[in-house]
Amino acid sequence: MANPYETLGVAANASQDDIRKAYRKAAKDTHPDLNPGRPEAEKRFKEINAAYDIIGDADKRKRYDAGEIDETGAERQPERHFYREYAEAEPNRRYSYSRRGAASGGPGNGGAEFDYDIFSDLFGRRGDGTTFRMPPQDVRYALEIDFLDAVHGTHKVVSMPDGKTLDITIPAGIKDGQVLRLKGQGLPGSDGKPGDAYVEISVRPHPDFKREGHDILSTLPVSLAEALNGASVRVDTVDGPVDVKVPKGAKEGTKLRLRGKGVSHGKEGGRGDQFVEIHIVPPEGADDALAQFMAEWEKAHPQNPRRKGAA
Amino acid sequence: MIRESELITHFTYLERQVLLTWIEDGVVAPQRDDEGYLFDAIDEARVALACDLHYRMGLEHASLPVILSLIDQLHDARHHLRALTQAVAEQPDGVRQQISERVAR
Repeated sequence: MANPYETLGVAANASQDDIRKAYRKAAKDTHPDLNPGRPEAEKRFKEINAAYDIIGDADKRKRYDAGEIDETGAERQPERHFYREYAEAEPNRRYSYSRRGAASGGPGNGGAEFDYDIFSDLFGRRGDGTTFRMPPQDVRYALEIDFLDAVHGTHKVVSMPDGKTLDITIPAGIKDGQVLRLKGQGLPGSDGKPGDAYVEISVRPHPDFKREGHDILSTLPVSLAEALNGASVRVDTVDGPVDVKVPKGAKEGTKLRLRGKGVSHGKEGGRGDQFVEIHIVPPEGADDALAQFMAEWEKAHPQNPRRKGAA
Repeated sequence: MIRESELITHFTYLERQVLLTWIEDGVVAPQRDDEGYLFDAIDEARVALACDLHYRMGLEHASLPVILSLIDQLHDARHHLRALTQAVAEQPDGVRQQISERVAR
Protein backbone atom coordinates (compact mmCIF):
# COMPACT_ATOMS: atom_id res chain seq x y z
CA MET A 1 0.00 0.00 0.00
CA ALA A 2 1.22 3.51 -0.82
CA ASN A 3 2.20 6.28 1.53
CA PRO A 4 -1.09 7.77 2.81
CA TYR A 5 0.11 11.34 2.22
CA GLU A 6 0.76 10.53 -1.44
CA THR A 7 -2.53 8.70 -1.77
CA LEU A 8 -4.41 11.81 -0.63
CA GLY A 9 -2.05 14.13 -2.52
CA VAL A 10 -1.08 16.21 0.50
CA ALA A 11 2.30 17.30 1.89
CA ALA A 12 3.70 15.46 4.90
CA ASN A 13 3.33 18.65 6.94
CA ALA A 14 -0.22 19.42 5.77
CA SER A 15 -2.66 20.59 8.45
CA GLN A 16 -5.49 18.28 9.59
CA ASP A 17 -7.82 20.72 7.88
CA ASP A 18 -5.99 20.36 4.55
CA ILE A 19 -6.04 16.58 4.87
CA ARG A 20 -9.78 16.66 5.54
CA LYS A 21 -10.35 18.88 2.51
CA ALA A 22 -8.24 16.63 0.28
CA TYR A 23 -10.13 13.58 1.50
CA ARG A 24 -13.53 15.16 0.89
CA LYS A 25 -12.62 16.20 -2.61
CA ALA A 26 -11.25 12.75 -3.45
CA ALA A 27 -14.25 11.05 -1.83
CA LYS A 28 -16.67 13.14 -3.89
CA ASP A 29 -14.93 12.00 -7.08
CA THR A 30 -14.53 8.34 -6.14
CA HIS A 31 -17.31 7.31 -3.74
CA PRO A 32 -18.96 4.43 -5.63
CA ASP A 33 -22.42 5.62 -4.66
CA LEU A 34 -21.73 9.10 -5.98
CA ASN A 35 -20.22 7.65 -9.17
CA PRO A 36 -22.47 4.70 -10.04
CA GLY A 37 -21.35 4.69 -13.69
CA ARG A 38 -17.67 4.28 -12.89
CA PRO A 39 -16.84 0.76 -11.70
CA GLU A 40 -13.16 1.63 -11.25
CA ALA A 41 -14.03 4.24 -8.62
CA GLU A 42 -14.37 1.68 -5.85
CA LYS A 43 -10.71 0.63 -5.71
CA ARG A 44 -9.51 4.22 -5.51
CA PHE A 45 -12.13 5.08 -2.89
CA LYS A 46 -10.92 2.23 -0.69
CA GLU A 47 -7.34 3.46 -1.01
CA ILE A 48 -8.16 7.00 -0.03
CA ASN A 49 -10.31 5.77 2.85
CA ALA A 50 -7.50 3.62 4.22
CA ALA A 51 -5.13 6.59 3.92
CA TYR A 52 -7.61 8.90 5.65
CA ASP A 53 -8.14 6.40 8.44
CA ILE A 54 -4.50 6.89 9.35
CA ILE A 55 -3.60 10.51 8.72
CA GLY A 56 -7.13 11.93 9.08
CA ASP A 57 -6.92 11.11 12.78
CA ALA A 58 -4.39 13.36 14.55
CA ASP A 59 -3.37 10.66 17.06
CA LYS A 60 -2.96 7.88 14.53
CA ARG A 61 -1.11 10.27 12.28
CA LYS A 62 1.42 11.01 15.04
CA ARG A 63 1.94 7.30 15.53
CA TYR A 64 2.32 6.76 11.79
CA ASP A 65 4.80 9.64 11.49
CA ALA A 66 6.74 8.21 14.43
CA GLY A 67 6.86 4.87 12.68
CA GLU A 68 4.75 3.09 15.31
CA ILE A 69 2.20 1.90 12.77
CA ASP A 70 2.62 1.36 9.05
CA GLU A 71 0.27 2.03 6.12
CA THR A 72 -1.74 -1.01 7.02
CA GLY A 73 -1.98 0.07 10.67
CA ALA A 74 -5.49 1.27 10.24
CA GLU A 75 -8.33 -1.01 11.23
CA ARG A 76 -9.07 -3.35 8.40
CA GLN A 77 -12.14 -2.25 6.53
CA PRO A 78 -14.71 -5.00 6.55
CA GLU A 79 -15.97 -6.18 3.18
CA ARG A 80 -18.42 -3.51 2.24
CA HIS A 81 -21.44 -3.59 -0.01
CA PHE A 82 -22.11 -0.24 -1.53
CA TYR A 83 -25.64 0.98 -2.00
CA ARG A 84 -25.19 1.09 -5.77
CA GLU A 85 -24.85 -2.70 -5.91
CA TYR A 86 -28.44 -3.05 -4.73
CA ALA A 87 -29.76 -0.05 -6.59
CA GLU A 88 -28.23 -1.29 -9.85
CA ALA A 89 -29.31 -4.88 -9.39
CA GLU A 90 -32.92 -4.48 -8.49
CA PRO A 91 -35.24 -2.55 -10.80
CA ASN A 92 -38.30 -2.69 -8.50
CA ARG A 93 -36.35 -1.90 -5.41
CA ARG A 94 -37.86 -0.21 -2.42
CA TYR A 95 -35.90 3.01 -2.82
CA SER A 96 -36.80 3.64 -6.45
CA TYR A 97 -37.71 7.32 -6.54
CA SER A 98 -40.91 7.07 -8.53
CA ARG A 99 -42.16 3.87 -6.90
CA ARG A 100 -41.54 5.03 -3.36
CA GLY A 101 -43.26 8.33 -3.99
CA ALA A 102 -46.39 6.64 -5.28
CA ALA A 103 -46.49 3.89 -2.68
CA SER A 104 -45.72 5.65 0.57
CA GLY A 105 -45.93 9.35 -0.15
CA GLY A 106 -42.77 9.40 1.88
CA PRO A 107 -41.04 12.61 2.79
CA GLY A 108 -38.99 14.27 0.12
CA ASN A 109 -40.92 12.59 -2.66
CA GLY A 110 -43.18 14.35 -5.07
CA GLY A 111 -44.17 10.99 -6.52
CA ALA A 112 -42.81 12.15 -9.83
CA GLU A 113 -43.17 9.60 -12.59
CA PHE A 114 -40.42 8.99 -15.02
CA ASP A 115 -41.22 10.32 -18.45
CA TYR A 116 -42.13 7.04 -20.13
CA ASP A 117 -43.43 8.90 -23.17
CA ILE A 118 -39.91 9.07 -24.50
CA PHE A 119 -39.84 5.30 -24.60
CA SER A 120 -43.31 4.60 -25.91
CA ASP A 121 -42.53 6.88 -28.85
CA LEU A 122 -39.55 4.76 -29.63
CA PHE A 123 -41.00 1.35 -29.02
CA GLY A 124 -44.27 2.23 -30.70
CA ARG A 125 -42.38 2.23 -33.99
CA ARG A 126 -40.68 -1.10 -33.41
CA GLY A 127 -38.99 -3.00 -36.16
CA ASP A 128 -40.04 -6.49 -37.26
CA GLY A 129 -38.31 -8.08 -34.31
CA THR A 130 -35.96 -10.17 -36.39
CA THR A 131 -32.68 -10.95 -34.74
CA PHE A 132 -29.50 -9.63 -36.28
CA ARG A 133 -25.83 -9.58 -35.59
CA MET A 134 -24.54 -6.31 -34.17
CA PRO A 135 -21.04 -5.52 -35.37
CA PRO A 136 -18.42 -4.01 -33.03
CA GLN A 137 -18.53 -0.23 -33.07
CA ASP A 138 -15.56 2.09 -33.49
CA VAL A 139 -15.72 5.27 -31.50
CA ARG A 140 -13.99 8.59 -32.16
CA TYR A 141 -12.70 11.05 -29.62
CA ALA A 142 -10.81 14.33 -29.77
CA LEU A 143 -8.00 15.22 -27.39
CA GLU A 144 -6.10 18.49 -27.07
CA ILE A 145 -2.54 18.32 -25.73
CA ASP A 146 0.24 20.78 -24.94
CA PHE A 147 2.92 21.55 -27.51
CA LEU A 148 5.69 20.21 -25.30
CA ASP A 149 3.76 17.00 -24.53
CA ALA A 150 3.50 16.47 -28.29
CA VAL A 151 7.26 16.92 -28.66
CA HIS A 152 8.31 14.70 -25.78
CA GLY A 153 5.43 12.25 -25.73
CA THR A 154 3.40 11.62 -22.61
CA HIS A 155 0.99 9.32 -20.90
CA LYS A 156 -2.55 10.46 -20.26
CA VAL A 157 -5.49 8.99 -18.43
CA VAL A 158 -8.51 10.92 -19.63
CA SER A 159 -12.25 10.76 -19.09
CA MET A 160 -13.98 10.97 -22.44
CA PRO A 161 -17.34 12.77 -22.90
CA ASP A 162 -19.19 9.45 -22.76
CA GLY A 163 -17.70 8.70 -19.33
CA LYS A 164 -15.23 6.09 -20.55
CA THR A 165 -11.74 6.36 -19.14
CA LEU A 166 -8.92 5.86 -21.62
CA ASP A 167 -5.29 5.23 -20.91
CA ILE A 168 -3.46 6.86 -23.79
CA THR A 169 0.24 6.72 -24.57
CA ILE A 170 1.10 9.66 -26.76
CA PRO A 171 4.30 8.98 -28.74
CA ALA A 172 7.02 11.64 -28.87
CA GLY A 173 6.74 13.78 -31.99
CA ILE A 174 3.01 13.36 -32.60
CA LYS A 175 1.63 15.89 -35.09
CA ASP A 176 -1.40 18.11 -34.89
CA GLY A 177 -4.35 16.27 -36.46
CA GLN A 178 -2.78 12.84 -36.14
CA VAL A 179 -5.16 10.06 -35.11
CA LEU A 180 -4.22 7.38 -32.58
CA ARG A 181 -5.91 4.02 -32.80
CA LEU A 182 -6.59 2.28 -29.51
CA LYS A 183 -7.29 -1.29 -30.37
CA GLY A 184 -10.24 -2.86 -28.57
CA GLN A 185 -11.29 0.35 -26.79
CA GLY A 186 -14.47 0.86 -28.81
CA LEU A 187 -17.93 -0.57 -28.17
CA PRO A 188 -18.48 -4.33 -28.22
CA GLY A 189 -20.67 -6.00 -30.79
CA SER A 190 -23.12 -8.81 -30.06
CA ASP A 191 -20.30 -11.36 -30.25
CA GLY A 192 -18.52 -9.48 -27.45
CA LYS A 193 -15.61 -8.38 -29.64
CA PRO A 194 -14.95 -4.68 -29.09
CA GLY A 195 -14.37 -2.11 -31.81
CA ASP A 196 -11.51 0.35 -31.74
CA ALA A 197 -11.26 3.85 -30.37
CA TYR A 198 -9.77 6.58 -32.54
CA VAL A 199 -8.38 9.62 -30.78
CA GLU A 200 -7.68 12.68 -32.90
CA ILE A 201 -4.93 14.78 -31.37
CA SER A 202 -4.86 18.53 -31.63
CA VAL A 203 -1.75 20.28 -30.38
CA ARG A 204 -2.08 23.62 -28.61
CA PRO A 205 0.27 26.23 -30.12
CA HIS A 206 3.28 27.33 -28.07
CA PRO A 207 3.98 31.04 -27.55
CA ASP A 208 7.69 30.69 -28.40
CA PHE A 209 8.11 27.60 -30.54
CA LYS A 210 6.83 26.72 -33.98
CA ARG A 211 7.20 23.37 -35.59
CA GLU A 212 8.21 22.59 -39.15
CA GLY A 213 8.42 18.87 -39.81
CA HIS A 214 10.87 17.63 -37.23
CA ASP A 215 12.50 21.01 -36.65
CA ILE A 216 11.61 23.63 -34.09
CA LEU A 217 11.73 27.30 -35.03
CA SER A 218 12.13 30.15 -32.59
CA THR A 219 13.23 33.76 -32.57
CA LEU A 220 16.10 35.17 -30.54
CA PRO A 221 16.04 38.90 -29.85
CA VAL A 222 19.57 40.35 -29.44
CA SER A 223 20.77 43.88 -28.88
CA LEU A 224 22.76 45.72 -31.53
CA ALA A 225 25.88 45.51 -29.36
CA GLU A 226 25.45 41.74 -28.91
CA ALA A 227 25.07 41.35 -32.67
CA LEU A 228 28.16 43.44 -33.42
CA ASN A 229 30.46 42.00 -30.76
CA GLY A 230 29.10 38.50 -30.42
CA ALA A 231 27.73 37.24 -27.11
CA SER A 232 26.77 34.15 -25.18
CA VAL A 233 23.03 34.20 -24.50
CA ARG A 234 20.54 31.86 -22.94
CA VAL A 235 18.07 30.31 -25.37
CA ASP A 236 14.96 28.28 -24.54
CA THR A 237 14.74 24.88 -26.18
CA VAL A 238 12.10 22.22 -25.78
CA ASP A 239 14.51 20.55 -23.32
CA GLY A 240 14.98 23.70 -21.28
CA PRO A 241 17.39 26.61 -21.57
CA VAL A 242 20.88 26.27 -23.12
CA ASP A 243 23.72 28.77 -23.64
CA VAL A 244 24.23 29.72 -27.27
CA LYS A 245 27.05 31.75 -28.85
CA VAL A 246 25.82 34.57 -31.06
CA PRO A 247 28.63 35.00 -33.62
CA LYS A 248 30.34 38.35 -33.92
CA GLY A 249 28.68 40.45 -36.61
CA ALA A 250 25.47 38.36 -36.65
CA LYS A 251 22.92 39.75 -39.07
CA GLU A 252 19.16 40.12 -38.77
CA GLY A 253 17.53 36.84 -39.79
CA THR A 254 20.65 34.73 -39.30
CA LYS A 255 19.59 31.24 -38.28
CA LEU A 256 21.58 29.38 -35.66
CA ARG A 257 21.18 25.64 -35.66
CA LEU A 258 20.92 23.77 -32.35
CA ARG A 259 21.53 20.19 -33.34
CA GLY A 260 19.25 17.54 -31.92
CA LYS A 261 16.95 20.04 -30.18
CA GLY A 262 14.07 19.29 -32.50
CA VAL A 263 11.35 16.67 -32.60
CA SER A 264 11.88 12.91 -32.50
CA HIS A 265 11.90 11.07 -35.82
CA GLY A 266 10.02 8.24 -34.16
CA LYS A 267 11.05 4.72 -35.06
CA GLU A 268 13.94 5.77 -37.31
CA GLY A 269 15.53 7.37 -34.25
CA GLY A 270 17.22 10.71 -33.83
CA ARG A 271 15.74 14.15 -33.57
CA GLY A 272 15.42 17.20 -35.76
CA ASP A 273 17.11 20.49 -34.98
CA GLN A 274 16.07 23.80 -33.52
CA PHE A 275 16.62 26.87 -35.67
CA VAL A 276 16.97 30.12 -33.80
CA GLU A 277 16.43 33.19 -35.93
CA ILE A 278 18.28 36.29 -34.81
CA HIS A 279 16.25 39.45 -34.49
CA ILE A 280 18.23 42.59 -33.81
CA VAL A 281 16.42 44.98 -31.48
CA PRO A 282 17.40 48.64 -31.99
CA PRO A 283 18.91 50.32 -28.94
CA GLU A 284 16.30 51.39 -26.44
CA GLY A 285 16.41 54.99 -25.26
CA ALA A 286 18.79 56.03 -28.06
CA ASP A 287 19.92 59.58 -27.25
CA ASP A 288 21.46 62.46 -29.17
CA ALA A 289 24.94 61.20 -28.47
CA LEU A 290 24.22 57.87 -30.18
CA ALA A 291 22.43 59.57 -33.09
CA GLN A 292 25.34 61.92 -33.58
CA PHE A 293 27.85 59.09 -33.35
CA MET A 294 25.93 57.08 -35.96
CA ALA A 295 25.73 60.07 -38.29
CA GLU A 296 29.51 60.56 -38.00
CA TRP A 297 30.15 56.88 -38.39
CA GLU A 298 28.04 56.62 -41.53
CA LYS A 299 29.81 59.58 -43.08
CA ALA A 300 33.00 57.56 -42.86
CA HIS A 301 31.27 54.32 -43.97
CA PRO A 302 28.67 55.29 -46.57
CA GLN A 303 26.03 52.58 -46.95
CA ASN A 304 22.80 52.15 -48.95
CA PRO A 305 20.98 49.04 -47.76
CA ARG A 306 18.35 49.48 -50.53
CA ARG A 307 20.96 49.00 -53.26
CA LYS A 308 20.69 45.65 -54.99
CA GLY A 309 23.19 43.21 -53.59
CA ALA A 310 23.58 45.11 -50.31
CA ALA A 311 23.86 42.87 -47.31
CA MET B 1 -32.64 -8.63 8.91
CA ILE B 2 -31.14 -6.93 11.93
CA ARG B 3 -32.41 -4.72 14.69
CA GLU B 4 -31.57 -1.08 15.37
CA SER B 5 -29.13 -1.87 18.20
CA GLU B 6 -27.14 -4.31 16.10
CA LEU B 7 -27.04 -1.95 13.13
CA ILE B 8 -25.57 0.79 15.31
CA THR B 9 -22.70 -1.47 16.41
CA HIS B 10 -21.72 -1.86 12.74
CA PHE B 11 -20.79 1.80 12.49
CA THR B 12 -18.12 3.60 14.46
CA TYR B 13 -19.81 6.99 14.74
CA LEU B 14 -23.51 6.37 14.27
CA GLU B 15 -25.74 7.43 17.19
CA ARG B 16 -29.26 6.22 17.76
CA GLN B 17 -30.77 9.71 17.64
CA VAL B 18 -29.16 10.37 14.27
CA LEU B 19 -30.48 7.09 12.90
CA LEU B 20 -34.01 7.98 14.03
CA THR B 21 -33.72 11.38 12.34
CA TRP B 22 -32.65 9.69 9.12
CA ILE B 23 -35.64 7.36 9.27
CA GLU B 24 -37.92 10.34 9.84
CA ASP B 25 -36.39 12.19 6.88
CA GLY B 26 -36.71 9.18 4.59
CA VAL B 27 -32.96 8.77 4.19
CA VAL B 28 -33.47 5.16 5.21
CA ALA B 29 -36.85 3.41 5.17
CA PRO B 30 -36.58 0.16 7.17
CA GLN B 31 -39.50 -2.20 7.66
CA ARG B 32 -40.98 -2.44 11.11
CA ASP B 33 -42.81 -4.94 13.28
CA ASP B 34 -44.21 -4.83 16.84
CA GLU B 35 -40.75 -4.74 18.36
CA GLY B 36 -39.33 -1.98 16.22
CA TYR B 37 -37.38 -1.44 13.03
CA LEU B 38 -35.89 -4.18 10.87
CA PHE B 39 -32.95 -3.41 8.58
CA ASP B 40 -31.94 -5.55 5.62
CA ALA B 41 -28.74 -5.37 3.54
CA ILE B 42 -30.01 -2.53 1.32
CA ASP B 43 -30.93 -0.42 4.34
CA GLU B 44 -27.52 -1.06 5.85
CA ALA B 45 -25.78 -0.03 2.63
CA ARG B 46 -27.81 3.18 2.62
CA VAL B 47 -26.91 3.89 6.24
CA ALA B 48 -23.24 3.33 5.32
CA LEU B 49 -23.60 5.85 2.51
CA ALA B 50 -25.31 8.38 4.79
CA CYS B 51 -22.52 7.88 7.38
CA ASP B 52 -19.88 8.56 4.72
CA LEU B 53 -21.67 11.70 3.56
CA HIS B 54 -22.24 13.06 7.06
CA TYR B 55 -19.39 11.91 9.27
CA ARG B 56 -16.57 11.71 6.74
CA MET B 57 -17.49 14.18 4.03
CA GLY B 58 -19.09 16.75 6.33
CA LEU B 59 -22.54 17.11 4.76
CA GLU B 60 -25.26 18.60 6.96
CA HIS B 61 -28.20 16.44 8.02
CA ALA B 62 -30.61 18.64 6.10
CA SER B 63 -28.82 17.97 2.81
CA LEU B 64 -28.87 14.16 3.12
CA PRO B 65 -32.50 13.61 1.96
CA VAL B 66 -31.78 15.88 -1.01
CA ILE B 67 -28.62 14.01 -2.02
CA LEU B 68 -30.17 10.57 -1.51
CA SER B 69 -33.21 11.54 -3.53
CA LEU B 70 -30.95 12.68 -6.38
CA ILE B 71 -28.97 9.45 -6.20
CA ASP B 72 -32.21 7.46 -6.36
CA GLN B 73 -33.36 9.45 -9.36
CA LEU B 74 -29.99 8.80 -10.98
CA HIS B 75 -30.44 5.07 -10.49
CA ASP B 76 -33.96 5.21 -11.92
CA ALA B 77 -32.63 7.07 -14.94
CA ARG B 78 -29.85 4.52 -15.34
CA HIS B 79 -32.37 1.66 -15.27
CA HIS B 80 -34.48 3.28 -17.94
CA LEU B 81 -31.44 4.13 -20.01
CA ARG B 82 -30.25 0.54 -19.82
CA ALA B 83 -33.66 -0.70 -20.93
CA LEU B 84 -33.56 1.77 -23.80
CA THR B 85 -30.02 0.80 -24.81
CA GLN B 86 -31.06 -2.83 -24.75
CA ALA B 87 -34.06 -2.09 -26.94
CA VAL B 88 -31.94 -0.11 -29.39
CA ALA B 89 -29.43 -2.95 -29.53
CA GLU B 90 -32.22 -5.28 -30.63
CA GLN B 91 -33.14 -3.13 -33.64
CA PRO B 92 -31.98 -3.88 -37.20
CA ASP B 93 -28.60 -2.49 -38.27
CA GLY B 94 -30.03 0.40 -40.26
CA VAL B 95 -32.21 1.61 -37.40
CA ARG B 96 -29.34 1.40 -34.94
CA GLN B 97 -27.11 3.29 -37.34
CA GLN B 98 -29.70 6.08 -37.64
CA ILE B 99 -30.14 6.27 -33.90
CA SER B 100 -26.42 6.45 -33.14
CA GLU B 101 -25.94 9.11 -35.81
CA ARG B 102 -28.79 11.13 -34.35
CA VAL B 103 -27.47 10.76 -30.81
CA ALA B 104 -23.93 11.73 -31.84
CA ARG B 105 -25.23 14.97 -33.35
